[in-house]
Amino acid sequence: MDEEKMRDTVRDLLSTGKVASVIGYEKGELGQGARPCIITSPDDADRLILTPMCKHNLTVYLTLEPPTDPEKKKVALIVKGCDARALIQVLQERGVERDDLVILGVPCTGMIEPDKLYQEVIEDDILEISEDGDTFIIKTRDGEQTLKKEDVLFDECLTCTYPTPLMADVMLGEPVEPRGGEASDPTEGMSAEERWAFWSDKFSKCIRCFACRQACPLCFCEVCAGDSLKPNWVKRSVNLSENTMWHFIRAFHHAGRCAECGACERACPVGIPLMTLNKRMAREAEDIFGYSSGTDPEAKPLLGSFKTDDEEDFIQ
Amino acid sequence: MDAVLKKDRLDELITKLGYEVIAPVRKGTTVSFETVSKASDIAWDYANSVVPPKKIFFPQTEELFAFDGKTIAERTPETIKRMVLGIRPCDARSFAILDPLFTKDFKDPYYIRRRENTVLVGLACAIPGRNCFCTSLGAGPFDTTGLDLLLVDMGDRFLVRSVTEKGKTLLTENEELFEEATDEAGTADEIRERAESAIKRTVDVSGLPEKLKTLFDHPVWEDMAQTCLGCYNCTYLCPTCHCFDIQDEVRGRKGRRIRVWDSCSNPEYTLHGSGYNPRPGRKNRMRNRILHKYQYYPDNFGVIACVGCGRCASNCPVGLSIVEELSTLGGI
Amino acid sequence: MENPYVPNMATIIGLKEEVKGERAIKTFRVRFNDAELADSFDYIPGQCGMVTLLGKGECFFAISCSPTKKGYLEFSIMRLGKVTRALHELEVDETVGVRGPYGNGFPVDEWKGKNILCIGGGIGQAPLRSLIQYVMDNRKDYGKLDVIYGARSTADLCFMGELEEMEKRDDVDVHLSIDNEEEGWTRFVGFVPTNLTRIAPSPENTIAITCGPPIMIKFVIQALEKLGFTPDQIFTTLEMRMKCGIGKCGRCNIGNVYVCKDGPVFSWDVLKDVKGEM
Repeated sequence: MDEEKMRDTVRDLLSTGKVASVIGYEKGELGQGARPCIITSPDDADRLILTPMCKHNLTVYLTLEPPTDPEKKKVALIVKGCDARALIQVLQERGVERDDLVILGVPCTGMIEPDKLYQEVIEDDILEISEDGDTFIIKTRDGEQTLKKEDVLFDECLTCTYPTPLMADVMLGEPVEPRGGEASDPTEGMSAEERWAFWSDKFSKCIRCFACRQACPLCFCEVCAGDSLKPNWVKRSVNLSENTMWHFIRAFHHAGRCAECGACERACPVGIPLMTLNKRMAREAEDIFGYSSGTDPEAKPLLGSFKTDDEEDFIQ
Repeated sequence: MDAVLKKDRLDELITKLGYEVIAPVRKGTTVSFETVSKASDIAWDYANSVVPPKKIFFPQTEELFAFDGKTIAERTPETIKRMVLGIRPCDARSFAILDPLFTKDFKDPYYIRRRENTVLVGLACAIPGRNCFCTSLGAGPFDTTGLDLLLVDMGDRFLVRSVTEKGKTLLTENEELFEEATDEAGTADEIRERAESAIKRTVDVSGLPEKLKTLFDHPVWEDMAQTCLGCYNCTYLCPTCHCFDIQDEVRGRKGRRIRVWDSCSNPEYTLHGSGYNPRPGRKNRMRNRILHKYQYYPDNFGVIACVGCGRCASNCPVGLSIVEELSTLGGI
Repeated sequence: MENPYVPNMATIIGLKEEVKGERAIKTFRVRFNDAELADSFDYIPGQCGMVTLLGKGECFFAISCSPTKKGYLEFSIMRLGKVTRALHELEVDETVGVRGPYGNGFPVDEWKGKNILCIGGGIGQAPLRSLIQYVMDNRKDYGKLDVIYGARSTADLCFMGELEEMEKRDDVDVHLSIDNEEEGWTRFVGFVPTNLTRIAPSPENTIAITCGPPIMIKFVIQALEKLGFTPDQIFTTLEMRMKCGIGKCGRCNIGNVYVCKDGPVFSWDVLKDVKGEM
């Protein structure tokens, strides 16, 4: 991740007027975290950072609200490997137009899960985080601590298959090889009853805050099935039955679309393991249809197309 | 009045009272307020729950009444006796802030009956949470506003401090389970001082309601709301947020009218039937949220609708910080 | 403790189609099933009720008849969304629920001895009708009564039968208008604010109350101020999405004021300084 090159590129794009705004990351207010940031002035380029705490998927800002700007000014945004996958999927579905974007790709060696880090170091004591091969060097007020990457990275990052953005106008770093490996599924080997008990336990905690939906770049329906009153797919009452309905609808709506970036699970305040569900749907899409979302901007969306040799083993 | 309760006598107290006991329970990595049957279920070492205990008096889903065709079957508001055990001072304070809303003009029987029939036993904070800023709002780790009793964890026992008549009565009616306090008060003071100085987040809210009156049209709101995702985390997890929706749920002729938590972050919140929306963008909605808590609520009820628990900041998926926002606004 | 969320059941004893078509308007006359309540229910003109259709939902409507009409309530309702569509399907003898009265109503006692000028547009005439009937039923308590009312077309005019009757009386001046020329229409053609300026009522000892589409209210207030009305002489009613109607659910606020509880009647004097989205 080349922070200097990122800042130079951003400064240039804004001062030459090539883009009207840049969506990137800045230092968070509380502790050492990073958080999304949208700037319009080249003078603010130094506000932007690129660190292993930059976990958010910024593609969400392209689809968060229906465009209100009649001039449709160009936007530059910083995308890591997984973020780029989401972006490619959004482009496939015509959620945004390619010409309206300048894509700044960041080949990514993994993002730190803050809670895992703060088990080892006090958040407010951290001065700087740097990488050294397979470790992070955390400089604190009291000195230095070395932590193994595999101990503090997000689970998603440990099994990432697309660390280098598949699409970018400018690449801010050298390509990265995928780590490889299968994501662990806590429901692996469980019977149907056990799985139902597992998910019932998780869904009963849901408070329908829709943070999962709002954080997800691929959730951009004008009227969400979770809100719709006509028809009322999901009742407004918050209980296990309706929560289960909500999560199932969302998981199915993401089959063949989810970029597996993990933004939803990170946003969830009550710790529902949404990626377990979404990854399962992604594997199904791969196994049955050989389709991997967000990898080919020219591909047609999975559930918006068919091939004549699609499996039909469900027709007996 | 001070007393001491040995921790190993807590189960006896719970059994003797016969109240439904709601306490913080750890499930996986999160803590939430649940009904417990024994003291060992309680997570005494928690910072704070994710979902605030407002759900006890103001449940997320509440049946207002049932109906069959055109006949209404009213629900009797609950009168079961409850004890909330181990609530943090900030959360107890939130009820003192919400009480005037639910009792003024039209009395809300559901909230009021639960409130009347519940005794609040707080747990003083020895180690504040990362994002706590209660001291900036006139509160603190040992604040007793809203509590009937305050417990201070002293290892094998609690120092028990009565706050209200209800709390005192509980002590006197069960005095055989309590012991006299000896030197615990001194230790408690030390714990309190350490806790207060450990709070790192501060913001100056003096004069803030007046200041905010002048800032409605200021361009600062545009920048502030830029990265907001528009989820409902901050509002649902806020102990003093009280907005709700009313919906009818039917099956055939039968049904029920419910109220459910709603959020002013939801675009539908103010959407007129005609399609017009007075708060069409995230900027409008964030401005309304902040002004409501720090200007309108003080205007109407004399108190800022915030207890400084920091849940909104800790759980915001994009790291927006209320402390930062208030400092920015106060400094304009 | 009384439960403010539970509606009182009432029977529809009369239905009148005011406006036909896509945005149809009907006046529902309802009587509480509880006889004691039906006779004792009292309110001030401008106050509102939450009308419920069990299974569909509730809506906040101005009570469009005066409290001097005993034994029943009237609501003039436009068919717009889920609940109002279902209400429009109802017939006489069917049941609805009503809870209220809510809101602050018009300060009719303070206005005694003054001239009353009502300026309404479209369905906005509904709360004004309550006030007009009240003034007419307490005629000697008030001065001159002027009713300026207009709509897009003759098909959109509400309460025409009553207004035509009132035109014939000499204790009230009625000035009707429609926006565009229509065959058979001999009265004023033009927007309501234009009609107001043309009539040029004197602000002397007069209270002006206006209700209608937001754009009409804006121009009416401008016109009134040009005629010399001071902000404390101008009143209007506001509308917001509402759920509880009792100032608890939070959504109908404009600044620190709840439209359901502190309104829906507001003087321009107060409203012009309120910072909020309307």
